[in-house]
Order: sequence, then C-alpha cells, then structure tokens
Amino acid sequence: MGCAECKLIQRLCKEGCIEELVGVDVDEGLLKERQHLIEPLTTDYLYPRPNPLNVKLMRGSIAQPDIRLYDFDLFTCIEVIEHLEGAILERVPSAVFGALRPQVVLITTPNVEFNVLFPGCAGYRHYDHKFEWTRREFQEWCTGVCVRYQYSVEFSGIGTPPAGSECLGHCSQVAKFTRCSSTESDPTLSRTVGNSYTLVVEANHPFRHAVAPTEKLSNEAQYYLRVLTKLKLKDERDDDGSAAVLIPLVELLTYRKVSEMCSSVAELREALSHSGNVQLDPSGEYAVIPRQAELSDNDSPSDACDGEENFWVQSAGMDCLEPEPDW
Amino acid sequence: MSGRGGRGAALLKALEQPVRRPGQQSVQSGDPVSGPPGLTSAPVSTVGVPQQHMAADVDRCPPLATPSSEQPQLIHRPLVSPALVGRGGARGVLPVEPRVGDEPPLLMSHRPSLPERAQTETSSSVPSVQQGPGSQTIIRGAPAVGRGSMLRDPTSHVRLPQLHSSGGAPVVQTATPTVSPPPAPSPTPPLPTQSPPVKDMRGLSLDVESNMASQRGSSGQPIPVSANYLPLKGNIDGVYKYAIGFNPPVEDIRSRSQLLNEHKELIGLTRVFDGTTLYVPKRICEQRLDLMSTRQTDGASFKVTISLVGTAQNKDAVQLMNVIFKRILRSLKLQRIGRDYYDANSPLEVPQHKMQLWPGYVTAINRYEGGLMLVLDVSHRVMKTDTALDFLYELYHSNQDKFREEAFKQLVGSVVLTRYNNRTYEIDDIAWDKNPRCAFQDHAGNQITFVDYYKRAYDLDITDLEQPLLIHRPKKKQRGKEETSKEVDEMVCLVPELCSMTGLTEAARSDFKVMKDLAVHTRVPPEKRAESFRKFIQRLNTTKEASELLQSWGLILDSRMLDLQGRRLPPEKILFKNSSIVANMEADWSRECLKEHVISAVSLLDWAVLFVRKDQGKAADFVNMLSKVCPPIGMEVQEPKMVEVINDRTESYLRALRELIAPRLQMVMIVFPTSRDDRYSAVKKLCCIESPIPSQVIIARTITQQQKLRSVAQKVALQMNAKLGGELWAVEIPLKSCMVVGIDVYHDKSYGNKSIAGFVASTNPSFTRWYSRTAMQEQSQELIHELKLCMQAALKKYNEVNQSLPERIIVFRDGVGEGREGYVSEFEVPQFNSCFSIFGENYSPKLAVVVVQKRITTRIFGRSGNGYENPPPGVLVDHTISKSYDFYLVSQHVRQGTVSPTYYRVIYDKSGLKPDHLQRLTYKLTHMYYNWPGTIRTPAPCNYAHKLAFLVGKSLHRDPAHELSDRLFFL
Repeated sequence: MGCAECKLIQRLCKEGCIEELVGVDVDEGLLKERQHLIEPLTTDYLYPRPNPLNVKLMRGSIAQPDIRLYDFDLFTCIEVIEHLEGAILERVPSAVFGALRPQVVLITTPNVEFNVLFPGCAGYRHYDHKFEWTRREFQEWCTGVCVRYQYSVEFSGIGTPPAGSECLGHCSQVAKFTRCSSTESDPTLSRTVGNSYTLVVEANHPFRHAVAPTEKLSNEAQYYLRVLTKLKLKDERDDDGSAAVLIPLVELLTYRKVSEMCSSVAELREALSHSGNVQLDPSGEYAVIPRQAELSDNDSPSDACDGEENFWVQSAGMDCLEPEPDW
Repeated sequence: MSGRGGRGAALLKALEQPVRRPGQQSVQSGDPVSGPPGLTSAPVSTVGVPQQHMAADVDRCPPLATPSSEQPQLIHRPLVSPALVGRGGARGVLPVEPRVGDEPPLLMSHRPSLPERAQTETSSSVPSVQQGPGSQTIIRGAPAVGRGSMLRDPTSHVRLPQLHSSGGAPVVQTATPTVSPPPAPSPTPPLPTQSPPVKDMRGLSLDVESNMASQRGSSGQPIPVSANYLPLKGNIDGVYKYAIGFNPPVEDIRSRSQLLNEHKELIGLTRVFDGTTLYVPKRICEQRLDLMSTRQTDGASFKVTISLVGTAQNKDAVQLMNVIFKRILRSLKLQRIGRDYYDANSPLEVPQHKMQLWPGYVTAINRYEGGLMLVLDVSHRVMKTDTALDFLYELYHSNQDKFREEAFKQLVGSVVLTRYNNRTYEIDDIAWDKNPRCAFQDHAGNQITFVDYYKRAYDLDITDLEQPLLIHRPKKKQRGKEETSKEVDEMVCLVPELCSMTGLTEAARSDFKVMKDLAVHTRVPPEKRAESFRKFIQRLNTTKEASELLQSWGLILDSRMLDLQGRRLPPEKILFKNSSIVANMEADWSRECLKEHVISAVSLLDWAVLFVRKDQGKAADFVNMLSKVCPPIGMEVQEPKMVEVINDRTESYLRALRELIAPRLQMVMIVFPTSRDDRYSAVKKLCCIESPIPSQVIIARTITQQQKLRSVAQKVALQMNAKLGGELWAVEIPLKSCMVVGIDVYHDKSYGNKSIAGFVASTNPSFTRWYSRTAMQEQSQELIHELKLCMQAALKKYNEVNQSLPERIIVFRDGVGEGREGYVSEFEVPQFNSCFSIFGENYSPKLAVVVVQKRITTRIFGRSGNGYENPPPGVLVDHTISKSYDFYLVSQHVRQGTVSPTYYRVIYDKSGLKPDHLQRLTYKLTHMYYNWPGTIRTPAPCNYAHKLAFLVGKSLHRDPAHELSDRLFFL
C-alpha cells in the first residue's frame, strides 16, 4: 500500500516464493512512469523463477478497500501513514484490518523521538508529513487497531540509534500485525466492498517449467557428449575409418554440470537410454556417436582450415545471425 | 545514416537509477565516486561556445574535427562499446543508442541530433541567453558523481549540464546524453555564451531532405519489388516542440519530470520529455507560459517555464518517431537487447547446444526520399543457457595446456549478460590472478569481497571460489582534449558464474553443426519473413497500449510492405578464353567454368606436395586427378615433387618447406591430416612472409572420398591458378584507364586489438589482375595515413604495368561502421586526393568513393502472384527508400533464406560516371570474385580485401611479403 516509486515491488519480484504481488498507490502518473519496474527482465527469461508470479500496479487509496485484495498473506505500509491526512488515516484500520484482513500487516513510520539526532531538523523530516509519532503514540494506535479487529502486534525498529542515544529508540518504528483468526471468509464482503482500484499495469513473470531430473541430466549429458566427440575427432591422429566414435560415459562425470546432477555411470546410462537419442554400446560403458553425424560433408564450412577448399559453398543466404558467412 | 534509428534517445526521460556495478575499480585514487545516484557526473558541454573556440580545439585533434567547420559541434563517443548485444540494462529508458559499426566507436559523430538538439535548446529555450560580451557561463555540476557513475551505462542517463548564467538571466539547460561529452576541463574556465541561431543548426545535420534529389540510373528491366519499409503517416506538423526551463534550476531529471507532471491536465499524458525539451501533439501555449510547481521530495517551489519552439521539424520528427516507436515496442512486451527487441516469451530451444533463439524485430524510423518510413526486419538473438563459468570449464576440459590462451581467445570480445542486474558487458580481459574472494572497494569506500557483495546486494551465492574474473573496461572518453582527459584506468570485474553468454562464440560460429541447427530456425524464406511482418503489425494493432500510443500521436502505420519498382540490370556476359556465355537467372556459371579454358593459365611446372605418411595415397590420387581436370580448363600441370613429412608436427612441416622452397618452385601444396589453426597459421606465415610462395592447404578429409575427388580437384585447380596469378574469367568492362579499389577492415579483438585493412586495386583494364596491400592499425589509431600509402603503391604498380596512370579511380570502401560514412568522406577522401600530386602536378584522376554496407536491415522482395520471393540477381532500387546518391543492389543468388541487398552509398563522386554506369560497374564487379563462379554480395575487390585482411588478421599478424602482392595468394 503506497508503493510510490515501486522500489519495494521491484525488489520483491526477485523473491521466488511470491506468487501474487500488488502495488497500490494514489498517484497513477507515478505508477505509469514506473510500470517498467514490474516487468520481467531479460535475465528472468534465461533464469526463470520457480513459481509463477503475477504483479499488478493499481491506483487506489489505502483508505478504501478493494475486494481483489481480500485475504492476502501480507500487506506492507512502509513510511506511508505519516503522509495521510487525519480523516483518511481514520479510515485505514477499517479498510485494511476490517475489510481486507490480510494475515500479516507491516507498518512503519518515523519515530519522532529520534529526530533530535538529525542536525538542523526542525519540525518533521519531510515537508509532506502530516504527523510524526512517538513510540507511545504509534503503539497506542496499533494496539487500538488490534483490539478492534482481532490482530496481535509486535513492535520493533529500523535504524539503530547511536551509542548513548538508545533511549530514543530506532529511527523508524515497525509494527508487525498478525491476524488472530485463521482463514475466514465473509460472504457479505463482496457486496460491501467493491472494485475501487483501477488496474494500471500488470505483468506475468516467466517461470520454470518442470523438467524431469532425468531429462535434465540427459540434456546435459548429450551436450557434453558432443563436446567430447568434437575433442576426440580433433585429437585423432589416425582417421581409422571407423563408423563411430566411442565415448566412455565416465568421462562425462568430469564435467561439473553433470557431476552436480549425478554421481554414477549407472545414472547416466539410465538417463541417456531414457532419452533414446544416444546409442550406447552393449556394455553400457560407452556412448556410440556415429562419425558421420559430427563430420560435415566436404562442402561444409567447418571442414576446411580456412575455407580454401570449400569455396563453392553456397552460404550467402545465412541471414539473421551475426556471423557474416563467407560466400 | 542508413536504417537503424534509436537516435532519438536524447529525447528521453531517464527514469531509472543506475544499478551500481560491483567491482569497478578506479586506479586513480581519490576519485570522487560517491554522491547521490541520479546526479550525473561531469556534465561537460560545449554548447554555446563561440565558433572560433571550438574550431581551435578541432584543429588540435584532426580526427575529431567537425563535419562542418562552420558549426560548433559536440563530439561524443560511447563510453561503453556497443557490442552485438548492447547495453541491456536501461529499462524504461529509451537511451541514446550509439551505432554499432564495423569500426571502433565513433570518433566523431555524424548523428547530428545531439549537438543540434542541445544547441537548439540553448538558443530556443531562453532567448535571453544572447548576452553581451563579457557575460560568463559557468558549467556546473561537475564532480557530483553518482555511485558508479564513472562506469555507468551511457544509455541509461541523460546528463544535464547546466549553463548557468551569472547575470541573473534565465538558465539555459541542455541535455546531453552521457555518451557525449569529451572530457573538458571541469571546473571549466568560464566560457562566453553565445547561442547560435537556430537556423544554423540545419547545416550540421545530414539532413536527407537537403539532397534528396536522388541520382538514378535507368538501364535494365523494370521489375515490381517490395521492401520491408512501412510508410508512416501522420500529422507531424501537429506536434509541437517546447523548451522547458526551471527556476531555480533543477538538475535531477526525475525531479524535472515530476515538476512538469504537476501540470498534466494542461500538458496531457501524450508527451515526450527529456528534461529540457517537450514534445506534445497539441498547442499548450502561444509563446511562453510560466507555471509553479512543488517538488515532492522537499516541497520546494519552482517556476516552470514552457516556451514554444515551433512544430517538430524533420530531424526532430525522426527522433521523436523513434522514441515513440520504442515505447510501442516496449508495450508489446518485447525485451530490449542491445538496440533491438526480442520476444522472450517464445524462445526457440536448441537444447543440444544449450542455446535459445529469441525471435525479435529490428526497427528504425527514418526519412527517405519517399517520406517517413519504418524499416522492419525479423532477427534472432542467440542466448546461451549456460554461464561463462560453464564455458570456461568446457574449455578447460578441452584444452588444458593452452586453456588460458584459448579462454582469452574465445571470451575476449564476447558479450555477457549479468543476471543480477540485467546488463550486458563486452569482455576485454580475464583476470586470472583474481577470484571472487578478492575484495574491491565499494561505493562507501569499504573493502568487500565479491562473494559478500553479491550475497548482500543480490542474495546470490557464488559457489566456485576459484574462478577467475572477467574484465570489462568501459571505453575511455579518449582522444582529443588530451590536456583534460585523465587516464583513468577503470574496469569492471565480473564473476563468470553470474554471467550468461550471449551471441555466438567464435567456436560455435565455426561449428558446422551448431550453425546448421540454428539455420533451421534463422534462415527464413521471403514468404515466411513477410508473414512475420504481418504478424508484427497485427500484434501492434491488437495491443491496446500500442495502438493507443500511435493514435494519441496521430500516427498511422501502413500495414503493408512498400511496393515499388526496381530494375533488373541486364545479365552479364561471362568471358572465357575461347567463348562466352550469358549468366543465367541465378548468375551462376559453376558448370561452364569447369569446361571452358580460363582466360590465362599459369602452367604448373615446378611444384611440390607435402603430406604425412598416412595421407600418401590420398595425395597421390589427388595429384593424379588434378592432372586430369587441369587440361580441360587450359592449365598445364607437371608432376609435382612428392614430399613426405616425417610426422604431423608443425615444425616438421616448416622444416620440410624450408628445405623445399627455392626460387624456381612455383607453388607448394600442403596436405594436413587434421584442421588445426596453429599449424595453418605457421605454414601460412612461412609461405606468405618468410619465403614468399603461393601455397595451397588441403585437409586430408577433403580428398578422402573418391566420388567427390573430381569436383574437389576442379575447384582446387581453379583456385590454384588464381593464386598463381592466372585469370579465370572476365566480364565486359567498357571503361578505359580506370582503376577500381576495394578496401575492407578486419578487427581482431583477441590479438592486440588491431585492425587490419586489406587494400586491393586492379592493375588491368578488364579487372582481372589485382595488386594488394595491407594496412595495420593499432588500437585507437586511424587508417588514413596507411591507406594513402596503399593508394600510392597501387598507383605505382598500375603505372608500372600499364605505362600510364589511371584516369579514373573508383574506391569501394567496405568495413565502414554504420554512421561513419562521414568519417570516410571527411578524412579518407581528402587523403586520397592529396596523394595524387606526388605523381605530378597535373595528375588528378577522377575519383569516386562508394561506401559498401552489407549489414543492413533493408530487404528487397520479388513479387510472385500474391506472395513474396527472393528477387533475381541484378535487382537494383535507387529511389523511394534511398536518401541521396545511393542504391540497393541484390547481386547474389541465395538458395535458402531471404537475400540481403547490399547498400552502396556514393559519398564522393568526381568520376564523371553517370549513376547508371556506376551501378552497372558495381554489378559487373560482383561477378569477378575468383573463389566463386557466380555473383557475390559485394564487388570482388571488397571481398578480396576482406579475404586478405582476414588472412593477415587471423593467421599472419604481419604484412605479407610484397613479392606476392601482384596475385591473389590470399584466396
């Protein structure tokens, strides 16, 4: 609630355990301006998160509940309440704790007692603050909320005071509210609470599709089989004319990526035979790679040292990729 | 100025804070790398400096000179080298996109947008800057360096230098992206301010309109074609440009945006604002409007002054359209990598190589003869799904002895994507002496290890503590202004485990199977490509946000590719010794050239073949086959000396060759048991430098298969003849006394960062004999001087052969980075012209210089019924999508995929040739590449130059012996 520049939202997008994330703020322009922050990054596609994640930014007021935010696991209200006018602040408890009833609510607000430590700080810390509370004021307000809406609260703080000033408390005070009753559903709620927020932007993050461990292992194994085959063909002193190259499976285990996933040739054998793409010799100790599959024919670019002999290779049509083919 | 856009970047709001890059180290101690992010460092701008002042600077550093000496100019170069994948990070920012080119980053930009813009604003936003003499301008804000800003991605921020007038006059604000400023003294000695009038800006621009009248040819047969251009219609005149001033001045661009945003009811949400200039498709005020705003962070009040500059003009419009279009692409949920946009949601998996191909789009809006158009092409981006660490491991397993050498070769120059901050870096070095447990100084001045840093900042665990670190060196703001440019040796250390490999490594690129598997996806035939365009347009039209954006700016994008009339140049007659044929539809004469006598054959009387024992039989068979296939092409071959090399070690080959090479020996053929770069390189060094002799290398496998032996032998015979100085075929060349020159440049990142230019010049009227030279260029040097020497040598040779100097010289200059044509016309052309005088006062040949560009996004489609196909070779377009004296030519035939035209831009023409003749000459020259019995993509001298530069850059690393310079030894 009051996500403003969306920095927290952006940070939370990286948390693999979160599945739904909503940022609410009254300033639609600001949300629009910052909407790109909730979109997945290029790397998020390369390293997809384990679970789906839906992120929304909505324009709305903390003082007004929206049914779509009902029964969330957590609400945060970081340095927000002190910006609210009295009349609006008054409506916050009923909207958040009364109607939406999240399991946990985190509220932070400046601790005005701490202000004496700011040199030259007269009045409030920010011109837009409508009030700044002492620890007692905040705790009283919180306790009142708990009594009314069946929450419990724990207090803590952020920004440790310097030595000697411990009595002032933390720079910011934190209240963690926990809902007392377990899941509840209130059938009347949808009638009393409407859709008061407007969706500004929404993003779905890519997530990992489950790949069976054997398939994953098999993919890795096949990749490194190719690497080993290429090596072998390169090193080969004698082109003995045999039709296939034998690669001992045990060599695959020297690759970190493979050994991270399995520890024995037996597992490898199992995974590879499962995939059906790789032929194994009868003993099961070797992969049999047909030579022809790796060797290109005479007209292929990889064949020649420098493309001398393959000068009639027609490859001018290779487009799109960066490599600039020889003619 | 072809194609790619994105130059509109200065128009943008920079919204995002930079993510601090870890590991950046500043050797220069006490560097004030601290301060609030968002404030940028050393905004140095030479805006408004009187002309003489600039001119003086310019004189001191000629390569930086301005294109127009009359205009003051900002000189800018990218801080970070734009690589294949560029600066990914700046999300939400439409940045200035330095052009990627074949050449190192620009010295001098011919993207006039920035200087022009900056100046326009200076002059326009506050007319009162026209101060009297003696008033001073202080360039402020120098050392407020943001965290990590020294290394900041140039794309992510717009710098906001302020010219703060002392006389209480309104403040002039200029926006110059980070790419721009050459280091200027800061604090700067006060410079008098004088804004040049707006109209003067025009002269700076390469405005296409000024010379829009294109020079067209006429020959050939009209043929209907289509091009991947979508005309963009809209009411550009309805877009107004305003200068926005703040008083008191505001440096932070976000605050500026916020202050302006307070008046969104007045301005509306449809707008582009970069901190100083605002574009809105409506009229806000008559002349000038003062508004009051409150800064949200501290409640301070500011006066916001909106002054109308006028309607968005040509250049503005192009920039603006590009900015808007980037927004549109973003709204289509495409991922920006480098300057192009990719669809990460539907990657094509290539698991066998641990790769993904991301389909994507290349777009740019530009003004052409036919008006404002969007160029649209599909492209694919290779993304590796494993990390740089995996890659290092793989290399280590493959080659333990030379692991470091190999790793350096493979990794340096490649681009990695760091997963934690989504940025891309080009790798410049590998720090073997460092590992993740090393400490660096963070922005607060504390020592912290990489392991701890990544844990703390990104909650990432580094598992391999022994891995070396990768080094990225942001490009220095170098050259010129030496007096102020402190050599700050900056580097960014990257942990391989956290880096993804992007693009193709050298190894992958030369891997036949990888390329084949990728080609399945990337070789898109014309019809399928056209289908992708249709889908893109459909997606654009059905995405609410995108179509709303277009609408709100009053833009209409044609939904069909541009149809236009091309010409098919007449097929050329291919001349052999005793006969001639007319090239077929595919411009391919591979069959004929095996039967016809070559124009001139060099008899192979004294030559030798080297091989190891196991290849003895193959070598003998091959020689036998050569003796059969040579006579039909008119080539006499005697028995060679058959020399068995004792083993396959490189030294054994070298020893055998040294013993063998004697003055009478014409050529050596070397059969290698396997393909190995080091051996190849050593042998070529011997044969091209130490004991110059034409050489032919063959891999044993190539001559293993009996059924292919004949065809291999035929091709090798032709190639050997060309290497010996023979002429294979010719086309009719009506020009007399003309020399054509081809220049191409090879950049070798891994070998001392040199650039090698190949220079190839014709020495006979039929363009069948060539003289070649190479020019080496150390990093950050220019080729100009060397090229001049090459030209002189070529003219001497021409004179020696023909007993006269050429009356006409046509230079085809390849290897010019995008947007660098200006450099060629500004510096290389005068150098060429100046070198003629050493051949006599009166010698001034008619020179033309044509810049050849292959990597362009333009596609030309032939039309068949309702569908699209590749146009036949010889199709040329020189109107509507052209800009000045330029043309697109499809010279080659392709069997797969979509053909790419080559873009020829005539940047200097005193040749007296009609456009038609120059076009015909260009096409003729694409027939003359002796390694390919058909037409190729560029004029033959360019491809010879490419081949030569490649050999020297890749294998020789030194100039080849001049004894060989009169034949095509490098084929």
